[in-house]
Amino acid sequence: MTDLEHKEHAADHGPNFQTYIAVFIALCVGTGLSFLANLFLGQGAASFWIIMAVAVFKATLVAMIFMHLKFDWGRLYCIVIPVSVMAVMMMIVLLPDSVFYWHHLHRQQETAAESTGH
Amino acid sequence: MEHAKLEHPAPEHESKAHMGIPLPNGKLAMWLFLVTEIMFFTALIGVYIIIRNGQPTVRQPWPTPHDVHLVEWIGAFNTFVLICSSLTVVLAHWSLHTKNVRRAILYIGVTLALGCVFLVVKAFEYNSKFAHEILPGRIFEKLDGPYGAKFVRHVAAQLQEIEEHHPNSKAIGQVKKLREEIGETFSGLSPKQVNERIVGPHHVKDCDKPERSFMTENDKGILEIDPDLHLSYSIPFGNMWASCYFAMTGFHALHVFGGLVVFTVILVLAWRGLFGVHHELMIELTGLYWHFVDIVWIFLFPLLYLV
Amino acid sequence: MSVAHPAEVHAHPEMNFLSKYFFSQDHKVIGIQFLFTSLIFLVVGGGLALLVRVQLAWPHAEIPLLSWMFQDNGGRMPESFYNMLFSMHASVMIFFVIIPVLAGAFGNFTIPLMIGAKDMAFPVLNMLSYWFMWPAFVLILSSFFVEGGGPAAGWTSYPTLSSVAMPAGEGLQSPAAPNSGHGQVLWLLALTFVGISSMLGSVNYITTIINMRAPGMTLYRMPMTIWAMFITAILQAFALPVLTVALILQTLDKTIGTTFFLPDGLTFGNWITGPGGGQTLLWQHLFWFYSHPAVYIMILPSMGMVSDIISTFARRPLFGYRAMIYSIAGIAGLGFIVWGHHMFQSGMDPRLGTGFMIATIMIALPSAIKVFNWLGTIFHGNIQYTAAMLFALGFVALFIIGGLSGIFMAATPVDIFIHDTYFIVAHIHYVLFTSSIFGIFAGIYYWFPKMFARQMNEFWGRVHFGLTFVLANCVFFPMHILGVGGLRRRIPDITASPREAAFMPLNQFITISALVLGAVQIIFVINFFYSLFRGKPAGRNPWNSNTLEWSAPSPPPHGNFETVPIVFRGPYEYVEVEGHGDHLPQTLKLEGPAPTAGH
Repeated sequence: MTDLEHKEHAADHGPNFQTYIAVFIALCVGTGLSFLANLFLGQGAASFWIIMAVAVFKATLVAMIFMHLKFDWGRLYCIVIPVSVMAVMMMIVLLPDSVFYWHHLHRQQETAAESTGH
Repeated sequence: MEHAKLEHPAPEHESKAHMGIPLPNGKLAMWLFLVTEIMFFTALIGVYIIIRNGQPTVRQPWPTPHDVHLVEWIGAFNTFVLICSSLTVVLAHWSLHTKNVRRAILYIGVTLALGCVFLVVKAFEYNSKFAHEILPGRIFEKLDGPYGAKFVRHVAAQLQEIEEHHPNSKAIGQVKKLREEIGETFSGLSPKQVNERIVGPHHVKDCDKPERSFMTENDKGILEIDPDLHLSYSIPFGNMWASCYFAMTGFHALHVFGGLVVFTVILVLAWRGLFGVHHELMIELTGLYWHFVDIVWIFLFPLLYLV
Repeated sequence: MSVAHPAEVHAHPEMNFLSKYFFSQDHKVIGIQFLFTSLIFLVVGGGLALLVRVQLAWPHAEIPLLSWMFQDNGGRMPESFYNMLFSMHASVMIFFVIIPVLAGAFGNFTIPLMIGAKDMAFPVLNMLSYWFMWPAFVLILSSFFVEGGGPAAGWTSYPTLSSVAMPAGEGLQSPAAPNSGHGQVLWLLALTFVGISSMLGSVNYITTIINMRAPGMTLYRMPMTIWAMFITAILQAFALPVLTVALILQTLDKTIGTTFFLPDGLTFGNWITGPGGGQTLLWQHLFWFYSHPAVYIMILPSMGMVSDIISTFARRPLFGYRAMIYSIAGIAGLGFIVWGHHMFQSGMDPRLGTGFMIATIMIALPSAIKVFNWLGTIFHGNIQYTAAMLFALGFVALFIIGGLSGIFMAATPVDIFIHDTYFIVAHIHYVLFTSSIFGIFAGIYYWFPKMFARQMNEFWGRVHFGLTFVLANCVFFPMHILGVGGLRRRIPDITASPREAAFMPLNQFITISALVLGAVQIIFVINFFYSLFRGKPAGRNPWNSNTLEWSAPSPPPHGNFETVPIVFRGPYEYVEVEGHGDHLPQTLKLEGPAPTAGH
């Protein structure tokens, strides 16, 4: 398996035990933070942004450190970046028909209801 | 125009130069597979996000976790379980890398156990949904027209069941009264009034407020008095919620189960004495898959339970 | 994976028949398995098309062969049966013929050979990729026979027609959605299996092409066939999962009562959809997000193969090799942002429509570049009119027509007029039949000697081409006229409307041409099977081509090459060189100064 070893050596050594533990603690703290934000701030705009930012942060940590992406980035960015772009793009393009249309419709219905004095 | 250029015949070491990127085939393939999985869950989660943000209004809102018997701290606990399992699987890889096979097997065993805990907790959560009939196509919403009539009949049957099997409930008085008011022909109260009696005036959604309410600010709904009773109530967009919930968590759970199968295979290999340092790549690839499953849950948990 | 020892004899224990031919992990066998099963489905799909055409031409007559099924309708087919015919014709052709042949058969067969590898990166996965098609085969064929018949909501399966659930206790079909019962669910499951098979295959292909090329085979020395297969595999990997999600959600809608695509309160006869508030347009977005890249999945491999075939038989280097690569990449990349052009009439946000229109029109650019480059390749060439070359040239000519009609449709104002007319049907068939399938025929004629060590009969190949070319144009060109004239698609009886009834003569001409076209394919079938057993024996390189597969024995043994090939040049060195004829194979080691081509 000579070329397998060759390929492995070409890869970076990777994180050590302490790094893994540190990331684990950060993930637990993040989870707790999200839970508490929801508990004390309820379901509103403030808690939404905190919670989603924490989620993105946690996912990034897992991907970069646990999944070794930080060290394999040079070999993998060609597939990770396009798929991220595509994923975000798909959701954005779905917005007008599935979200904005309904908001517009509801606004119209509300103004119609107001003007007829319901 | 292209010339037919003869490229130098490569010197000996160069002709045997390796084409390709310095990444083992398996790792490249696993990342490509994860790309397909990313697109899969993006589509699934994307559907949820846009449906949830599209149609619900202030009057007819998306269900809150309380409406659908979703308990946030259970979800948080499951998140913690998966995070621990991510740690243990990466430590398994690290152990193999530092040539400690026994420790690696131990970590894999712990990961498997944690994964099982996740699925057991999930099963417990699903059970509470089944028990309260929070299932796609079975939730009552929109109490006008034929839906309303169905609702009243269903509730009447449930009230009878409660009277017969739970006579010691704190709300038994209200239960009997409601059943009387509904009457033999199920037309004593409007469906929206029945609904209000069940959930109480504070929890009724705007779109379900009855035209004529007989309840005051201080009255309590049956489920406010005894939340454990199995009584249906209107949940606007409840069916949509259940559809999304079961699709997303169901597929995630299937993926968790797939990972557990692989961990079991690894443990069987170890039990038969066939597992060794040469399995480092396999553990790494399994770990990649497992971390991905964890990342999906990292997004699912807040999207379903918290925000 | 590692450098092979010369004269490496694969010391396998002798494999039994099953593991050698059925559960083979050899990419060549798997490729041929895909080819055979797909050709069977080509006959099924073609038969369905002919039934469609017969109904269109003689709507009030008894259906030949099947009139016994419709005795209570006077032997005529009911409308729901017609809906089922065209739905299944399209589904079978797209998912069980073109994609498996291009990606499964040709992809599997050519990729390791043309890049100098012994096999795919994951042979077991490759075998699984083929066997995952079998549940799909069983499911799709059984959908014809279940109660309620095959699915009839179009291959596009739009809700709400397709998604209406089967209400428990009220019979298998809701009254307003005939043929939307079990058959539809089987269709959904079949396509899910096809998707899984394709996804496994694409992971394999990408890994193989990136990591298993022979020494010296840099990316820019790969033949266009491989570039096309590579980019097609990327398209599949990115786009298929979204279709899988859509199929699963629709299956859930039909079976367990979810309402992803069903708005609430719709009544069908006595039946009412439950509350739930789903969105029908969502299905269209999810479906077309995959199905538009799917059409590029269906054309790009043909384009790649045609590039190689034209270069070989014109004895000329491919004009603009890099431009060809970037064009394929451009088509694929743009292909991800144009799906809405199938939905101009759906009621989606018009601003989205504008965006999709602009992106769609832009795709014409790389497509045109490719056409010009093919023409540039042939220019001043020493053309050999073999059957493969004829089909390749036919591809180029008729792809121009298909592409041009596409530009009409790309413009939203025009599409509003021609959407759901025969103009669209014409476009579809010019790009799928006279382009993709011509490419498939070209590939079969071209690689048949490598696969089976025999050559197909050239004379009958040319006859096959000539008749197919003429008849295909007779069938599909008039559809442009019908479409602009306003003949709607997917209706079984055009005489019901006096305006459309006027088109009947042209319609009948099309049907008769189609029947003859179908009959002509028998020539190909006979040629194929006769040549398998009695064809002229072929050597390694009957076409004097440059690419690596022609340096392997015919048929290549397990492991493909006797020694690991070393690549010295690109694949298109068709130049006169002293002592080496008119071409320089990729593996040929030359001494001395570089020869240059005079142009």
